Amino acid sequence: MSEIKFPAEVVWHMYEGMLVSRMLDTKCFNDFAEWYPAFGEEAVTIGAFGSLIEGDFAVPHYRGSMGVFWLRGMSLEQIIGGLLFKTNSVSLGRLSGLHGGDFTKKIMPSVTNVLGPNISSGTGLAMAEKLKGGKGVTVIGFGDGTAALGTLHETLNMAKIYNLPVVYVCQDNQYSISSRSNEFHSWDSLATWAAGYNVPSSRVDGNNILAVRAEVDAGIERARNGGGPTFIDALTFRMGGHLSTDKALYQADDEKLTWENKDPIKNLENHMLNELGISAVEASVFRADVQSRVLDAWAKVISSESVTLESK
Amino acid sequence: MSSKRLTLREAVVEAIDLEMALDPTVVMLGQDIGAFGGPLQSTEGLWERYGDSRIIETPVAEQGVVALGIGMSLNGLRPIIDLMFADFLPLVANELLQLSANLNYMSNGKARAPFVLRTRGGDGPYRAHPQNMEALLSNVPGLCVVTPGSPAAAKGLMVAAMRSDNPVVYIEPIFLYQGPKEEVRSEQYAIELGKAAIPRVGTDVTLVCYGRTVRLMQLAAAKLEEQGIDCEIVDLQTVTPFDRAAVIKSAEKTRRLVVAHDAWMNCGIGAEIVATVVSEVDLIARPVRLTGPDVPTAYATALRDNSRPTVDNVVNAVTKMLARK
Repeated sequence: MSEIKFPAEVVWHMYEGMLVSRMLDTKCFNDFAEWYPAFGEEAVTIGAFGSLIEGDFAVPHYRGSMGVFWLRGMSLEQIIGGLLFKTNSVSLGRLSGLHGGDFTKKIMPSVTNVLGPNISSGTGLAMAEKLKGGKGVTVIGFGDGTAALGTLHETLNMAKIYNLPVVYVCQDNQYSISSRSNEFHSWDSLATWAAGYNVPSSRVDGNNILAVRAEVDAGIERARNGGGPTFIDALTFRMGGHLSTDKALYQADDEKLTWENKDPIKNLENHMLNELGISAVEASVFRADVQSRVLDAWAKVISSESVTLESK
Repeated sequence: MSSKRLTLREAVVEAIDLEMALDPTVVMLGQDIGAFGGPLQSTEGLWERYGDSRIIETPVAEQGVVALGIGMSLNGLRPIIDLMFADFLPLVANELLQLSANLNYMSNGKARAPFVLRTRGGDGPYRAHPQNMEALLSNVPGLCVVTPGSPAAAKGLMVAAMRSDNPVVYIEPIFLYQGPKEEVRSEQYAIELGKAAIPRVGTDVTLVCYGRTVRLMQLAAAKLEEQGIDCEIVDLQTVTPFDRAAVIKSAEKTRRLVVAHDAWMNCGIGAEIVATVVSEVDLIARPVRLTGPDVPTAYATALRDNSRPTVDNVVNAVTKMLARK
C-alpha cells in the first residue's frame, strides 16, 4: 500500500477514525445483544467519507455509520447519546444510534429499516445540488446485499443520464447476513455491473484505506468538476457475524484467518511504521488514548438523562 | 377580481404554473411531462414555459424517481413528483410510507421533506387506472393525503400542498378531471390542508365525502331537498389527517351520518369517519357507509358502474334513515 501517499496528518486522522469506529463497535458488541459491527470494514467507511468537506453530503451504510458520524464532526458524546437514547441524542431517541446521524451536519439519517431508499434519496440530494448550481458532492455507502435491489439499478441509470455529482461506494463485505454474494449475485465484481450503466467504476482493495481514499478522491474530483457519478466496489470482509449473537458458523475458518491477516487497522499501522517512521510505542499510546476517550465519553453519557415521552 | 371557468385538471395546472413562476425551487419530475403534455394533459403548457431544467422527464422507474424527489426536497427544492396513475402507489409505498412519512418525526424535525406527489386515480370516462389507494396511505402517520372535489378546491389545495413543509400526496380524481367546469379565481390562493369545506349547510343529515363523491352528494342533496330533507355536505378535501372537528360539529348538529367514497369499504376512510363520529356523538340513526365493494375493480361497464355509490344510493339511504326516526 506504500505507493499511495497522503500527508502524515491525513494518515493519522484516518488511523484515529478507524480506531474510533473499532472501539465504539467493540463496546457496543460487548454490551448489546443486537449490534451490527463493522469489524474489518473500517477502511471502507473511514476511507470513503474522509475527504468530504462542508457542503458535501454523507449517506452512510448502517454498518460502520458511527465512524462516518465522527468524521462529519459529531462528538463522541453525541454519538454515544444516540446509542443509549439520552437527551443529547440528535433524534431524541427516535432513531437508533447507528441510524441517526445529524442532518444539520449533512449526514443523511436512515429513517427506514429497508435498505435501498438511502441510495436513491441520497442521489436526490445530488440532483438538487446540481439543479441549484451548488458545488457539494454526495457520497453514498451501501452493502453488497443492498446492491442487488432494483433501487440501485434505477438510480445508477438516473445518476448517469442526469450526470449527477455523486460517488457510490459499495462496502462489499461479501455477505448478506449469511448468504454469500458470489452465490447469489451474477457478477464477478459489482463494478462490472455499474459499468453497464456507463458509470465509471472500479474495484479497490477495501482493506487498504489509502487505496479506498485515493479512489474515492478521484470520484469526488470528477463529481465536483461536473464529470458525473462514480461507482467503487470496495472489496472487504465482515470479520464476524451479522450481529452480536451471530457466531458466523457459515464463514470458513481459513477464510476468516485470511482476512484477519488483512485487518485494515493493522494494514495502516504497518504503513505508518514502515513509511512514516512511527514507532510501535507511539502507535500503541495513540490507540490507548483513543480507547480512553471513547470509554470516558461512554461513562459520562451513560449516567446522563434518558429520553422520555416528555423530552423536547 | 378576475376568474375563469376551468376544469379540475386546468385548475391544478394553473396552480402549478403560477407557483413555478413565484417560486424557483418548485420543479417537477415525471414520465411524459414534457412535450407530450403529461398523462391526461396534466402538465399542459408547463414544459413550454419552464423548460427541461424545471420540468424534468424521467425513465420508467417509479421507486427511484420518488426517492430522488424526496432527496431533492431535503436539499432545498420543492419537487412535484408526477406519478402517472394511482395504481402505481403500492409500487412506491416504501418510499412514501417508511421514508418520507418518517423523516420529520424520526429526525426530530431536522430533515423536512417538502414535496408533493401528485397522481390520478379512481374511475372515470377514461375507464383505465380505476384504483383508489388513499386508505392504504392513510394508515401510516406522517403523510398528508389530499383529494379535491371541485376545480376551485383543486387549485387552492395544490397551492397549499406545494407550500407545505411536509410530504403531501395529491390524488386527482379522474372522474372529475376533464369534467364540470367551475369559476376559479385567477389569482393564486391556498386552501389550508387538514380543513374540510361545507359546500352545503343543512340540518337533517351530514353527508361526508371527498373527490368524486362530493359532486355525487351535491346531486343527491338537490334531490332530497325536493322531498323537504335538508342535507349538510362535508367535503373532507384533506382525506388524512381529516378534519375531525368539522365532521363532529356537523354530526352533532344533524345527528345523522352518511359517508360515501369509491374506495373499498374494509378499513377504508369511511370506517374511520364512522368510528370517530359514533365515539363522540349520539346519533339518532345508524350511520351508513356507501363504498365500492370489497372486490378488485372490474373493467366491464356493467360490473363497475353498478358497484359504485350512486346518487340514488345516497337518496335511498337518507330517506330510509329519516323514515326510521
